[in-house]
Amino acid sequence: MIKRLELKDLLIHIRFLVLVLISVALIAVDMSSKTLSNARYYLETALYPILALADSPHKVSKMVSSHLQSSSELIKENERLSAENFMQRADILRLKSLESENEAMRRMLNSPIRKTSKRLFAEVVDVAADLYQRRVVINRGTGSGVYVGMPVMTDTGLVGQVISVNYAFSRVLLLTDNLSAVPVINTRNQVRAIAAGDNGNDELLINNVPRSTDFKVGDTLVTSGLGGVFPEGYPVATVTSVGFSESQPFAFIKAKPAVDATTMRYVLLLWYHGNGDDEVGLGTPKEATDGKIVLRRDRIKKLIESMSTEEAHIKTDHSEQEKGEQ
Amino acid sequence: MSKNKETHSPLLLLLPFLLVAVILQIASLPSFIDENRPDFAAIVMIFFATIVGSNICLELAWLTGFVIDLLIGAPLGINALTLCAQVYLISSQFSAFSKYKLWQQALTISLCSLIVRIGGYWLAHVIMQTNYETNFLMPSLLMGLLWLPLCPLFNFFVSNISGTISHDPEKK
Repeated sequence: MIKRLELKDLLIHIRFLVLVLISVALIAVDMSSKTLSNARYYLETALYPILALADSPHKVSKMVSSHLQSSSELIKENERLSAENFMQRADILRLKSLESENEAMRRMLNSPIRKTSKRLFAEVVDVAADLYQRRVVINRGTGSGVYVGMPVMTDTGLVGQVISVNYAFSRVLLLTDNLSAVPVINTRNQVRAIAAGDNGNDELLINNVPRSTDFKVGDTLVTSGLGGVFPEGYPVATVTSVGFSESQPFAFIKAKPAVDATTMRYVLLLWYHGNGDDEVGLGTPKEATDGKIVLRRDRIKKLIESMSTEEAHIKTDHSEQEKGEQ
Repeated sequence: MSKNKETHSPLLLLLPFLLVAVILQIASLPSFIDENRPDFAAIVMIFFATIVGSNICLELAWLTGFVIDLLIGAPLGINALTLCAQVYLISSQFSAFSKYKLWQQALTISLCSLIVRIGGYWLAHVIMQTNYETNFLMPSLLMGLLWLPLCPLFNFFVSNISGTISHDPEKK
């Protein structure tokens, strides 16, 4: 009897140890390589109904509150939206003339002409994310042409970029996540910097900025377009504090993001390609930037080029020989 | 006269309870609860582990954690490890857990949850860049407090509503 109990205890320890080893292996593989990305894609797509079910209370409460709105509130909101729409249409008229003027100037300077990027409207699925990450889920995926690295924004500014895609939904890396770093430019003095996420405080840190750099509280930071991920000119953050320390060579600058990710409900996804070739149409998925794949491609390319030059040399030698014989 | 023997099978209630717990784990809740969210799935798994035993609950807890990892986008395996660690601690270190009083059970669960949460945070800190986090006590306390009403509720469902298996010797 005692031996049976001891065996049972031993078995539970062994089972737990096996599960720990499997978990550690999974964590290591998931963090270090993309081996599990395909499996993750299919599994997460299959689990999307649970996400939709978790989001349903929020949708139901929103529907109920909209039905309970009084007619006077609806009339006021309708008038406000009509006025806003009218002002924006007037702004668009001027925008079209500025765009055509810009296009004419680019033609004169022989610069590439930028076309309007295709946009996609998406809704934020209101579910909790991992405790140690700042990400949101949106209800668009590969079925709508979404790809990894796509910039995401709202009407007030930049939200982040798509970090993982499934068939029906995607995850967006917010600017405040530790892994996020956005090239920005100060609108006041055109100073360039990089705004990185701080994770815990929902602020952005402007790192590696020399103490002598001109940054002031209230400065607006917009995307600079460097790096080719985010289009230039979109608001990112406003500087909230600038600190210096005599012992540190760099300034300590914090900025508040332009978009409050906790309250946003709708976002826009942009098809943007950083080489200035903004195409109107479905975007191509971002190429894998795995170092080994890129190296292999370069080697194959060089091999083909070397073979083609060797063939060219052989042909010229043959032709010269023929000429000499003649 | 033959008598039908009826046995209750609590496992039939496990999956529905687990589904509700997983949905509560990922659903958007008011900010106070969201910041101090207790581990609903762990509460359900610990309850069924005490009733059924740890024969399948350890592996099922691991699978549930794996599903939560997929749903919230966490690195695969991290929630699986923390969930199964809580079930393991209760099953292996507190073999007389089912005989404790309710408040003793709540205290034990809070302590185990606190230890596992700190371990999980340390693991997350090692594998990825995480911020400095200090909020471990409140979620663990809430978990213990939640156990106080939920355990009798689960017991009520298991004893009254779970499926019955009838054994009729005459039919054999």
